[in-house]
Amino acid sequence: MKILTVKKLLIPAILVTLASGCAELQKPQSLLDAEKAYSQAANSASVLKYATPELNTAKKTLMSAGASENKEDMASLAYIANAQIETALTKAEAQQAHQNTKDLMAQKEQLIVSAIDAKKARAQNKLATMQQRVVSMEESRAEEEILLAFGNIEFVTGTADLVPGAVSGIDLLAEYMIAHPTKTIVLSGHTDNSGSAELNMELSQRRADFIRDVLVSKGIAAERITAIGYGQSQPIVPNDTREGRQRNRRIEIKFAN
Amino acid sequence: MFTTKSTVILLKAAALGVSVSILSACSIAAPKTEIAYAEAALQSARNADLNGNAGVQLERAASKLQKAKEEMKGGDNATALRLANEAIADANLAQAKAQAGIASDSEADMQKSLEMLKTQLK
Repeated sequence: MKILTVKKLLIPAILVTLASGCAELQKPQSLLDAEKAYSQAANSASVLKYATPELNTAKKTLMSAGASENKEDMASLAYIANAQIETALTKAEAQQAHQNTKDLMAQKEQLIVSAIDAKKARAQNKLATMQQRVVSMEESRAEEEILLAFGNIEFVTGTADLVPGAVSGIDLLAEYMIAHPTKTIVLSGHTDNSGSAELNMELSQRRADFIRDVLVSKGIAAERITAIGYGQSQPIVPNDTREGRQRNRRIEIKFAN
Repeated sequence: MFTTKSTVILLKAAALGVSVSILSACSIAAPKTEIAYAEAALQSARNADLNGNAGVQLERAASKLQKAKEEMKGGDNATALRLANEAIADANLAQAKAQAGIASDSEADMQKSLEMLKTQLK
């Protein structure tokens, strides 16, 4: 009877002990939460990019938690896994912020470089404009000198021959055209109303052609020079005085680029 | 079925099992290394938290560490070990929060700076 009592007590006790030792522990909510959080973190591109080591650590902790043989260890490891997953997420956020800061810094530098370039370009344009103005002023002055010299050119009446000493204007014009190879000119020959209009037309053309030929002989390309005779058709003053007629016998020059 | 002799053997075996269990529970060494590591991690996180972004995590880690020390003093090394490991995890999280806070502030500052520059260049 005594033996049977011991038997009755011991056998169930041993069976219960064995059963409880073999049974898998039920996962606490904290571990289930950690597993869910891990799945979400493992699908985050930024976590995979910036915090893979931290994520792997959390995974190992979760596996240890799942294999725990007592509730206390399981709960503790679940707590640690949760903290490690949050650490991974936080580290990814930090790294992303670092990257964003770098990108913003690059944008700022690019803006500064662009602003400096734009300022340089403005300064260069201003300088170029000023230089162009100086060149234009110099050209204008040279052209004025030429026009002044041409204003004093005199032809022997009724011929296309220059009076002695009247070549300085042509020399100036030739030098100017050599120095400015893109310039072209239009030479207009004019006469007073002495003689017939038809002869004057022919005479004015010959005078304009004469100047052109002299320029060509000095090395200026013929296609840069247009010579036109207008005869007596475009007087600038009345022909009723000697002085007026002299002024109307003229060669006009128009410059073009 | 059981004889007195066999019952005695069974009881001895059970007693041995209990003794082994008790011994194995007592065999956990005091987690001095883990506690020292937790202290170092906590100090490092405190030093990193320049902008006060990790206050909650720092407090939690400090509390766990304190409890771990108390449990170790009371002889419950198993609980002390668990608490020390939890304190380490909390301290590491605090460190990450501190660094993330600084990085986030830095990004916000850079954004402001960029906007100011854009305004100046308009």
